[in-house]
Amino acid sequence: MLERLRNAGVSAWAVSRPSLLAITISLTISFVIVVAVSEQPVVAFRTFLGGAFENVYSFGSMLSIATILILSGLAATVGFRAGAFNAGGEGQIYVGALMAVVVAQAAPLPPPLAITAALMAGMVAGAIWILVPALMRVYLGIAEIVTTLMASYIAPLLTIYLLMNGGLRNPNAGVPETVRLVPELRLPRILSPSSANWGLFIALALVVAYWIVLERTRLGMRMKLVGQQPSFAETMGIDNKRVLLVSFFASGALAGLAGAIVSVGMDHRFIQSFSPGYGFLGITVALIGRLSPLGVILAALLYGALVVGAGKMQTASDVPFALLFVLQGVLVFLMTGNLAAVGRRLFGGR
Amino acid sequence: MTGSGLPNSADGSPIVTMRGIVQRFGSFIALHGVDLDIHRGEVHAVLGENGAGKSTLMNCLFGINRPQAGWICIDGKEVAIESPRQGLSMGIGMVHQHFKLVPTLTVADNVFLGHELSNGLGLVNRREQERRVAELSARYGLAIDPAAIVSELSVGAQQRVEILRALSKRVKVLVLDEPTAVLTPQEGEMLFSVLRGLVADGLAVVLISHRLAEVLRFADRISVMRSGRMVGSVKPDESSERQLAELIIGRELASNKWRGGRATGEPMLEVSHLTVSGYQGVLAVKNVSFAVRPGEIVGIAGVAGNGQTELVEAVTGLRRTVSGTIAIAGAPVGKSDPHRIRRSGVAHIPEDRLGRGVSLWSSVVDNLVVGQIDDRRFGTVLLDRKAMNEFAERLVGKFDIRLSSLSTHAGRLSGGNMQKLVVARELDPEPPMIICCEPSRGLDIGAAEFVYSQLQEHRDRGAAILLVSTELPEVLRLSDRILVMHDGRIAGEFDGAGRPSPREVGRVMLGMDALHA
Ligand SMILES: Nc1ncnc2c1ncn2[C@@H]1O[C@H](COP(=O)(O)OP(=O)(O)OP(=O)(O)O)[C@@H](O)[C@H]1O
Ligand SMILES: [Mg+2]
Repeated sequence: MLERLRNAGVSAWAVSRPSLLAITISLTISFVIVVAVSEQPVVAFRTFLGGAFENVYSFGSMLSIATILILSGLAATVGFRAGAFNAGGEGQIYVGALMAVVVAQAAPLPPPLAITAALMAGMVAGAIWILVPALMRVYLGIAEIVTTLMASYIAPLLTIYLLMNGGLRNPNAGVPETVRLVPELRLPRILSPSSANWGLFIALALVVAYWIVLERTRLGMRMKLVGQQPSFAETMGIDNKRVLLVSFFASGALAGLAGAIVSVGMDHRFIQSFSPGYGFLGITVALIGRLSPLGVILAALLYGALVVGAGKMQTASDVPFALLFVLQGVLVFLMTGNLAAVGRRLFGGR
Repeated sequence: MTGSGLPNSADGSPIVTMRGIVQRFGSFIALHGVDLDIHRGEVHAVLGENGAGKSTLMNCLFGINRPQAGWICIDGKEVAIESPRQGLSMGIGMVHQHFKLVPTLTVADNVFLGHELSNGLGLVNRREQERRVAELSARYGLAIDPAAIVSELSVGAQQRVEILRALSKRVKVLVLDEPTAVLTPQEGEMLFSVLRGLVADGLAVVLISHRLAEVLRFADRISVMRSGRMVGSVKPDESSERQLAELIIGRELASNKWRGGRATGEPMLEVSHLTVSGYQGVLAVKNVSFAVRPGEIVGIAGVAGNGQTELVEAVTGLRRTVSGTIAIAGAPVGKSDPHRIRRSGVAHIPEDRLGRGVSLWSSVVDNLVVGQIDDRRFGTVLLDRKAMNEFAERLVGKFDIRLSSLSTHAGRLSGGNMQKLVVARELDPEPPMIICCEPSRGLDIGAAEFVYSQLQEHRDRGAAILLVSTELPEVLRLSDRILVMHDGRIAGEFDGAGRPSPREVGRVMLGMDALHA
């Protein structure tokens, strides 16, 4: 439904209004909660909102989280656009992350090429992880929202199995994880010592690429048509199945790349259950960003800032990190509700 | 009596008075200060070209649009109608040009959508709703099963649901936007007898239509709009179709006569022993064979629902066949593959305009270009937006598509202009085969004539044309050969040059004469 709105010639303001409204309401609710539970509400709330901007380190942390969210948000967006609901970004991130480490370590290539190969391997792994749900949806009509989600529960278990039994585990580490990549095989850092890295530029470049594909290529036009009105696309001789498959794979590959960048750019290794739900957050980011390229970037930055802020707030005041989950819940609730309402408005009246 | 200077409705003065209504959409002005009076006990027809602003004006009355200037009085009191809900509660009921029913819900659910009847617990009282719908349907003579699911109903029945929905509150004015466009003549007759009853009860009916004959027969008053202005008002008994036509399009209508074509060469489309199943697996097309050769228009006449839709879907690859073969330009098309069929040069003007004909949420430009999107003139790797815009501009000019801007999405076009867009896109590449269904549905008389002459031109350049229409006059007017479909079979065939009478063909359409095919 949202993919219809996006292209409906509705003004930027009309498109972003529901998001802004949802953000305002959820922040207000969080503030009320802070006031209710905290001894020092002003400090707590200020840290929550502004913590990410206190110093270079926290700003960099925000950017590094935002990098992953941009990619996983883009993954969800690409799917939504053609009418594919990839609910399994989380799983694709896991397989992408492990595959990237394996390839980086094993590839007999000079470091820049090895890094490239690692990132590509992550994308391939993500795309493979969505293969079965995609084929099931396209050829059998089985709801992908269920199958991608199911596949995403398998991925963390499979990766941990491979980690433990595939000789990948670092014997000296307490938690199950791989050995660290040697410095040459890591994506260069920015804003050291934070974990922000060149992955950010990759993510931004991909957002631009996505915009170009969507607005300036035949594939993008077909994706939109298939997403908006499959019956029309079919009548116009567009191969709905092929277009849908392409966006499934693009979606899986982007999520896999997000995982690869966690490995090669942030953690420099694969760690068991490393993801705080990047894949699921990607869906939230896509919805708040209203499937627009710029919107996805802004939503990812906002969420990155709140994650960092929530961490700081927990240490600086008596409000726990969990405030973020409340906010996120309200946000998702409002965004999905709003979608229905806006959709009804647009469908209802001319 | 209010005694004020405002009009009141007690003595033949209007129920609804609209004055100086101005409606803008961005910088585009759809209504330039329009006046309209609606009187009780009358059928008031509003006529005008496609895009003249008829639907927009009625949307102002119903509360869908909020006009920027002007005022509306109901029963002598000035009112501000801000939503359809409010419109309904002030006694305005509307049946839209494009139905707004929820296909998965029942008739009763649809009728009460938005103002559900609830029981003591605040839950929807289905039984009461169904009882009320049955009651309404009996009162107004609109036969319907309240518990039926809307998607399973015929178009005519769906329209009855729309009308019941409009009448579910006590309305004083019932607005019907092109109600007969999708009805069979029999359903049309039924509708008008229902309307007569309503009017006799004191209701006012506003009727928007492009069918001048029915307007002259049933309307008590006629107002004509052009380019967002009221340009005239006539009495039906003092007017003729010809005069009305001129008033509507602002010039004399060059009415063209039937003109035969010359079929040449091998068939472009050859259908043999085709059997297709339709809704719930019931056979809809039964052992049908025919061919269309370059340079001829083959018309398929028939009452809606006799298998035409399924036949066309099968031929265009949109529906699987049960048995039989379809060959295009001599090459058999195997399994349903709309992509391949389109690439082999088959253009399709579909019957389902909103679902298949236009991409409602894409721009007019994209809608026009998509038909030839693979053409290199629109760019090699990246799309050349400038070339696309120029292309769209040319087609918009040629087919006189009225719109506020090229970037508006097609869903915002008026009904007739949407149809022009579809025809423009499909005819422009000069395809060797054209399959057109209900080509003039929703078009004003001028636009319909233009489309007819276009189809003839394409036939003359050598296109093979399959015309499928439930409008018998249209089929008679254009076809070189006429096939009549009844109950999934070809029940009769006529030579267009023999000018068969509507009566003759009509009997076969109704299955009264089974001519040998
Ligand atoms: N929401 C909208 N945004 C922009 N333009 C609009 C909108 N609604 C209508 N228009 C434009 O206003 C004009 C009048 O449209 P309207 O639907 O009233 O025509 P109409 O007289 O009903 O024509 P038709 O006989 O084809 O149904 C058209 O040019 C249409 O494109
Ligand atoms: Mg209209």
